[in-house]
Amino acid sequence: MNEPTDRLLAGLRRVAVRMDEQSQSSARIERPYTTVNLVSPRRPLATWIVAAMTLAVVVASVIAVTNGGDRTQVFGAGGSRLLLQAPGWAITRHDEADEGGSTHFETTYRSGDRRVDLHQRPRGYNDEFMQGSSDFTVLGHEGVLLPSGTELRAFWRDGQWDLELRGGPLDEAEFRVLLGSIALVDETTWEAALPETVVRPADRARVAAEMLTGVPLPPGVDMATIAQSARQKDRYQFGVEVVKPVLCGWMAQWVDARRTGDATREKEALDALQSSHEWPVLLQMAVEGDYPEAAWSSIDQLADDATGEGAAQRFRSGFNC
Amino acid sequence: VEIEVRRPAVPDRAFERFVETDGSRLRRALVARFGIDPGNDAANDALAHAWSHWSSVSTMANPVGYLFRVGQSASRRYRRWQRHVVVCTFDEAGASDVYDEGLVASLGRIDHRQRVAVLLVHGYGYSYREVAEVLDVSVAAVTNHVHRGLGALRSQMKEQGRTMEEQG
Repeated sequence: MNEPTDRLLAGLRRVAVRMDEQSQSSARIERPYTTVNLVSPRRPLATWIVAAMTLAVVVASVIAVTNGGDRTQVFGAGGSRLLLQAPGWAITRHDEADEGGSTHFETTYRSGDRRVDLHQRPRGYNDEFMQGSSDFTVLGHEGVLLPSGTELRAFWRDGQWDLELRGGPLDEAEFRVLLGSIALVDETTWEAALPETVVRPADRARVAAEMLTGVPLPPGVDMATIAQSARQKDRYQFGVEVVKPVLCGWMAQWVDARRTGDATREKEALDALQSSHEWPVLLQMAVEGDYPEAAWSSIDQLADDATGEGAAQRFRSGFNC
Repeated sequence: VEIEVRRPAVPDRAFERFVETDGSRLRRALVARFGIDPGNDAANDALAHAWSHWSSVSTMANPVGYLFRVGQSASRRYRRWQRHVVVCTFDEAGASDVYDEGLVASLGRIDHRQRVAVLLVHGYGYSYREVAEVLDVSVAAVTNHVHRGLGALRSQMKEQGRTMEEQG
């Protein structure tokens, strides 16, 4: 082994050690504002477990948790919207996802190279962060401010909702200005603030049809339900919503045809899946994220007898078909 | 494909064991893939997913590979401000030499599969098979990624050295 290689490998081992050190330290947060020791901002395992259990209990009970007389703000379609209205800041991304019987809202705002995300989740997600004394007030609700690397994070609670504003690079004074600019607005004001890249409920059918141009549909797949949701979606996430039933449908046909020995249907499904490399919707999504790449890595193994069935199985479990 | 069907008598312990062993490999792979902060966030999400779907994840043939994909999907929302992936940083506490800082910069520029493979195999000492499992690719593919990744790093480091010499 020549010396440059020795040096390179030794350097890689040091980098690995440093990665582990920082992975551990990133699970803690220093909080100069009070002497309270706070737990991880990145939700260590134990906290996740507690959070998952808490959420499961909340969902299973379907009964609103009492919260000491707090009003419960109705958010989303038909209710109020939280809008950050600081000058120079604009929404660049917004997504709403149904998870565990509730809705999660995530909105990205940018001003130049600075970015903040406003997360709105069911009550419980902020439990671990709201153990210290209050640092600020948003719309009458007290909250806790935490520095986290180059970011700042603010946590507060509004009735059944837990909210988090997170981002940077910003100093604390700038961040507090952003917090102070958050207002409750009506749906019309909210809609006007959304960028074109957000797929509105009224646009779902049209955008889905555009995305499916040139995409072969498997028999029996029902794309109509996609248009019925009231959720506003980030275009990438909407692409996932649209493409998933198509990919899953063809994969189901491939598995079934393989099982029954129907070579014609097997080939039809394989051809359709392999054509996904050329689907405009996936090519567009590949620029932003790894969903298409993950799909293609399984699809590319289907034609090989040795790997095909395993790839199909991994695909169907991995993509929640 | 063989699927090991097992329902642990005490799922919590089985899950804890999984986190201790495969969990750290998963976290390292996701940090190598996406950088220190997004990678850790993605690993947390993937492990949370494992917990909430443990009955199905625990019976999978390759749970760590599946969870790597879950982490990949989750990572999208955590990527921010980075033109290149930064797998770690060096401040006063982690003081290092110029070479290591250059190496981290070079790692951020090479192909992501090569970066994960090189760091897991040569940084952490995982076997090619273990890395193939995480990435859900063949051992031959990992071998290629490692070979090409080392080559790319060598040429980048050589270039950096030349630039530094020129700058005095």
